[in-house]
Amino acid sequence: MSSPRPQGQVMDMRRRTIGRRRFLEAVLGGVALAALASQGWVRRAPAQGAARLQDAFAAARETDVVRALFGGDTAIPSDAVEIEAPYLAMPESGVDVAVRCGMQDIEMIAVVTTNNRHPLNSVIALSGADGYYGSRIRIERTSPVTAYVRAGGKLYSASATVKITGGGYGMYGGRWRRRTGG
Amino acid sequence: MEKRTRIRARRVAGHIEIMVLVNHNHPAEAEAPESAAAGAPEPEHYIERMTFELNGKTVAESWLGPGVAENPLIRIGLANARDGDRVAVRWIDNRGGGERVDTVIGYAPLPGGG
Repeated sequence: MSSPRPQGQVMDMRRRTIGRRRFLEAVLGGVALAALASQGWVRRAPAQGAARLQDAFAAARETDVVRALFGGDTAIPSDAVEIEAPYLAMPESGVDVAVRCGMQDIEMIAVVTTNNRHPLNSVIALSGADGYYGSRIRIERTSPVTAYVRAGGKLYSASATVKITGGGYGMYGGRWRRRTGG
Repeated sequence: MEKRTRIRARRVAGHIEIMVLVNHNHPAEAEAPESAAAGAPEPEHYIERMTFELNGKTVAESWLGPGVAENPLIRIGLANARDGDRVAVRWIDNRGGGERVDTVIGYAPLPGGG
């Protein structure tokens, strides 16, 4: 993870960051600011919410993502968080991943694919919905998919490894899906 | 303009699951600008934000990155929703595109839509 990047990827990251900044400026001009401020985790640091998100999406390492999103909190592996993900998948395909959380007062769920160039996949802030979030995600190579869940002021996590094989070889061994927690 | 977003609410295991399918292709479909040098990274085109509302009140708000697959199928759950409640979804992508669709919980979806 810490190996030096080729120049092309650095440029790529910069382009991405600038695009996101332009987007955030446009969005924050409108009613979105009020919506952002209504989320508890943004309320804690109103001026920094957008910047933290921007940092989190631009980060190249999982630890940086977690620090940007959750500050210094350390994630507790928890059986109450369940990830549903396939055991094997093909590269460049949409991999169906779902996160279910059994705890109370869930504020936020973040899905992180550790080995992607930009690990943060998506973040959802919940203010009335259940602790459930599902999505199709891109996984560039074999990687743990980790769900970080903030609930009741604490940070929990659960992880499931998705193996990426060219052409999906080995997918048909009756191991389509597995659920895992903790 | 034809809707690009389909939304469906269904009752699953004690809660209402909201499924949102957005017809949103990644750069493979989008035209690359001619000025782009060969080998340059493809311009990214992805959904940036998606907001879910129940009867006009925001219940979930998600921020998505380029790592979300094209044509994403996003699911959330609502425990407190009842038949007749209105669920709306709004999304916006990184090029300013977006859409808002809504549906009513508890009614059979129309054929081919939802």
